[in-house]
Amino acid sequence: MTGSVGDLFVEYHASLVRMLYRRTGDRDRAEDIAQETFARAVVAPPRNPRPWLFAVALNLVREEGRTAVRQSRRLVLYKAEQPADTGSLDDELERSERIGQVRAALDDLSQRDREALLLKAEGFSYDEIATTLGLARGAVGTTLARARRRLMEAYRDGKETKHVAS
Amino acid sequence: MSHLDAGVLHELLDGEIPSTDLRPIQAHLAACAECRARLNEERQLLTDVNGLIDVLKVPASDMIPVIRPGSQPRRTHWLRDLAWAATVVIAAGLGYAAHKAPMLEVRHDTVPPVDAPANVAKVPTPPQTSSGNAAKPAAKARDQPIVASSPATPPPQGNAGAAAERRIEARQQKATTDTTSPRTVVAAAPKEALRTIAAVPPAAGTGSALDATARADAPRGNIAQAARVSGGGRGGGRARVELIDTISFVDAIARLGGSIRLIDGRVPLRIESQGNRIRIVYGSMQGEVVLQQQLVDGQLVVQLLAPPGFPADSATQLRARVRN
Repeated sequence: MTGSVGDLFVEYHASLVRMLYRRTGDRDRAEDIAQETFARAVVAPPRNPRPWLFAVALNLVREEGRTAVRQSRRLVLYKAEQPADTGSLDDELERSERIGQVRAALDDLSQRDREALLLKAEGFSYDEIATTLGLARGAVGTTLARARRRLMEAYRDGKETKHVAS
Repeated sequence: MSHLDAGVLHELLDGEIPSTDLRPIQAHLAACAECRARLNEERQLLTDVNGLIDVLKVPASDMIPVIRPGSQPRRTHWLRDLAWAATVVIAAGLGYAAHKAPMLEVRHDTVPPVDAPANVAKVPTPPQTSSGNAAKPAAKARDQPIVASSPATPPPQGNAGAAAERRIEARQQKATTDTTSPRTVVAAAPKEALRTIAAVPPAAGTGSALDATARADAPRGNIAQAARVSGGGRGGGRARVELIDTISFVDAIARLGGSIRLIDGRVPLRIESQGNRIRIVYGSMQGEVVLQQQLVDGQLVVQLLAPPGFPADSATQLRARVRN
């Protein structure tokens, strides 16, 4: 049992953390939730692992205040800051600003649209997205079309607002 | 045929239209300039959105997979069973040894001795001090159940073989919460704040001994204690028993002189105190990885202890991520 979950871990951990990081904007929290997700997979090995893992992870994100994650956070808060990446300060500022704008645009979407987009970005098929989010298969295309358009609109609106403000 | 809606266009762009449904859609696109234009717009939208989402990248160095070993129930149960078995064996051995050989007395930190020697110091333990320097004489009493040797009388050591450590995870809830209450401290190794206990196990004859070390101090805010037994060689050679406390992060920093090392990007499972060593315990697929640190002559000495089977390159990566 452990071996099969180990295989799942190797196969999906990076993708899951990436999706969770995009969803939460917090690397440590993404890793905590990913670990908790795999811990649950050890207890109850899933038959259809990828949708199952991502659905559990997204549920944990929604729960927000799960005790185990909160307890870990207390320790995370003590940790040293990540050393700055290489590159000039201007580059770093520009990159941070862009990340902030994308994240703000993503936060502007409805939960379903946002999660469908993030799952698609991880290579999910429409069937897997439907299974993970509990959607009808036929609704996935419409959901993704709407989510993509709204993300782009929110991103452009955010940029324009910033330019007006500055 | 009416115009293609956005959902169908995105299904098409995502390659999700079944081949059986593809022909009428392609026929419509060939005939409808408006839908072709919209298809190009949506294609551009798809490219832009993918570019935006790609901005949100997790740094590659944070992708080392780690899973909490606590989530592997079968393994935990197996260790717990082993711990119980080892506890029973040790207890039986100690009892037999107590009956057969002159022994010294072992006392728990929180329990005053019934027949304490006159020169055993009773000191209130300071909140963060872990030293117990009171000398203990070699009290020899055949009827005492458990024995302890003084530093002046080293335990007999014979054919003690070095063997792999067995970990006992039998945790004992510590009853005391008042860490400032007076307690008896029996010191054998002041540097280590540990005391050494020796006994003669039944099957070992004259050359074997069982050493047990127990903490003489108690940290503030400790939650639980665990006993750790180091197994001996054939014939029941040496064994070390060390009590481990789970302590708070703040206490760990205080014990290390105001500084602590952690593995960047990893979340510790717990922090343990073992003598004057602080052990930051992390989970991994192969078991627990421990970042052990202690002050030696005012210098912080840090060791990364990886379980058997832990990949060497992963250990190197973890070492590189140790931060103050």
